[in-house]
Amino acid sequence: MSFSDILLLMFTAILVENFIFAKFYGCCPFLGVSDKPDTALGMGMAVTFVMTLSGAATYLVYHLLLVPFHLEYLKTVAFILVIAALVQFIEMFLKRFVPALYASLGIYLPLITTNCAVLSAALLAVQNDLNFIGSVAFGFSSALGFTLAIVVFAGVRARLQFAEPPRAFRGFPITLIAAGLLAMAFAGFSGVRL
Amino acid sequence: MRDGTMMKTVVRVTWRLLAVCLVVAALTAAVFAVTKEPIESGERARKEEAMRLFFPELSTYAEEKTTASGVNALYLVKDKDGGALGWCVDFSGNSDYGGEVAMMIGVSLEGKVTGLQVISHSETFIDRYLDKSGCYTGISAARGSDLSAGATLSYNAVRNAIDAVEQMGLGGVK
Amino acid sequence: MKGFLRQLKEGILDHNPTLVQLLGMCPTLATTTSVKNAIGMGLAATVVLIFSNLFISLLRKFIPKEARIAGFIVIISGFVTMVELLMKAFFYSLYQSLGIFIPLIVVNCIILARAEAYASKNKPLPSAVDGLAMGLGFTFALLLVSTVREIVGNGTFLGVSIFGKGYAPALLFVMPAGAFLTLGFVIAGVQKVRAVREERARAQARANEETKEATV
Repeated sequence: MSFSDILLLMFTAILVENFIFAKFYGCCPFLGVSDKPDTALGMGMAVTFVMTLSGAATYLVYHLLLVPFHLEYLKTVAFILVIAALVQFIEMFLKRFVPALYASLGIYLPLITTNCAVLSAALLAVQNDLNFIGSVAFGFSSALGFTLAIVVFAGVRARLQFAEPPRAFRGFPITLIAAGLLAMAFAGFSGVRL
Repeated sequence: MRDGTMMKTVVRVTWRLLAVCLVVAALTAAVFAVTKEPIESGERARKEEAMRLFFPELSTYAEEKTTASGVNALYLVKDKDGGALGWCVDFSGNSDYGGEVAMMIGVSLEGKVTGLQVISHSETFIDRYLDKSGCYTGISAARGSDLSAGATLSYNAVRNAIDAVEQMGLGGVK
Repeated sequence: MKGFLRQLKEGILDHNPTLVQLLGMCPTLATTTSVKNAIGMGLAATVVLIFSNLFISLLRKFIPKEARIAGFIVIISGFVTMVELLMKAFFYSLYQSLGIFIPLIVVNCIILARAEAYASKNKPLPSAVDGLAMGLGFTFALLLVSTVREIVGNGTFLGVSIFGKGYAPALLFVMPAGAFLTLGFVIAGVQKVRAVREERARAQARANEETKEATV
């Protein structure tokens, strides 16, 4: 893959094929953690870290372990194990070196393991036959797209707190509708081709 | 003393997890063994069906050697008298970021691409841009830009596939 | 038997994993463009739920407490892979339509949540029933959302045209934005229904209190 291919891949992953607004990967934490812009940014960075590393790790596991032994069908199991291990490692790392972030992320940190975004990025990289650099770049930029979505949305939600929707809409429903409007905005990017 | 119990815990946890992993892996392998044949015969049937769409008189097909990239297989299609009808190219296109698109491309005896069918795709919005049997109707539809938003990525795949096949220079068969 | 029926009712209605517990958002938003896909996804997830709950419950004393999440994940992903292979072999068109969301059942929060909250603490049979109940609840939620999206956004239901040729579908509903909006309104509706029922229950309780005081 040439350098411009990689750039194109990244641009598309962030805007055109945004993991949340176009593909829905990573919704649970998106709808859960996006309350405050600071936590959102922290979550985004943690996810970016995990997804970049997992892009590398899953590529290696797939091509060096699964393919030679014709065990491709075990990729879901293998990938999720790799991701769980990575998250565990990052948890220990943050607890030791960045305790403030560790505390503010709370339960959402171990939940990165079940974040669809991480597993999807790994599976899609294999599906699209990306090489090592492509895999890492894809993980990284999809995560950036996720972070962009989550931070923008946190800003929206901060404003939402001062609105007074009908009782039935309070809480989750109005959040979803706000997300829907944002998704419409992002839909404007589809069809963009460099 | 503390180290001893800590070590015991790690060992216990590890071997139990490993045992669970092995049991799960064994079960999965069993299901894999059972489904291998149906999956493969399903793939063969789908490919043949696609070939039949371009050449209704298809009776047999013979695989030919080719080194063109992206091509999984090149088949010379024959009718029941052994006369050549054309070629079918089993092509795997990368739709850039949306997933691998497996296609069957029909090529006439003059080497021109006459049709294209998507055999497998992984984009859930693509359905609305294919007709009932999964064909992009005619080359102009594939080249035109009426494949919008949700399918732009496959438009690339289609275009690449057609270009690749036309570059193969098939044509002029005995 | 009564206990099992109650479990089923709670899974589908009172404790619906998606509409009440607000779990499993990803697939609810992504696979509800058509009723057929929604049902397919719901049933696939239900199968995984039943078997993983069953298996985890059977092994609940064996899986080490300290690494139980990892253990659950291995078991869940194993069953998801099995379901994926079976679908590829016997239900290919559904396998094609659902695409990447089949392996993504692994990270469906519902399954992990039930493993942790129920299967690891209860006997196998109730756990399997719980899996069935929650799975059906999930399928029900998917059905609600997909019905709206397919009818309004495509003019069809299960592929059958409802409004005839003249209907120009509101494409928004089969796009990502429409998913968020539809789910938002559906959950708002659910919350409204629950609020009304709670209010009625409270009014009933108050009325009972008053009659009790009156008779004293």
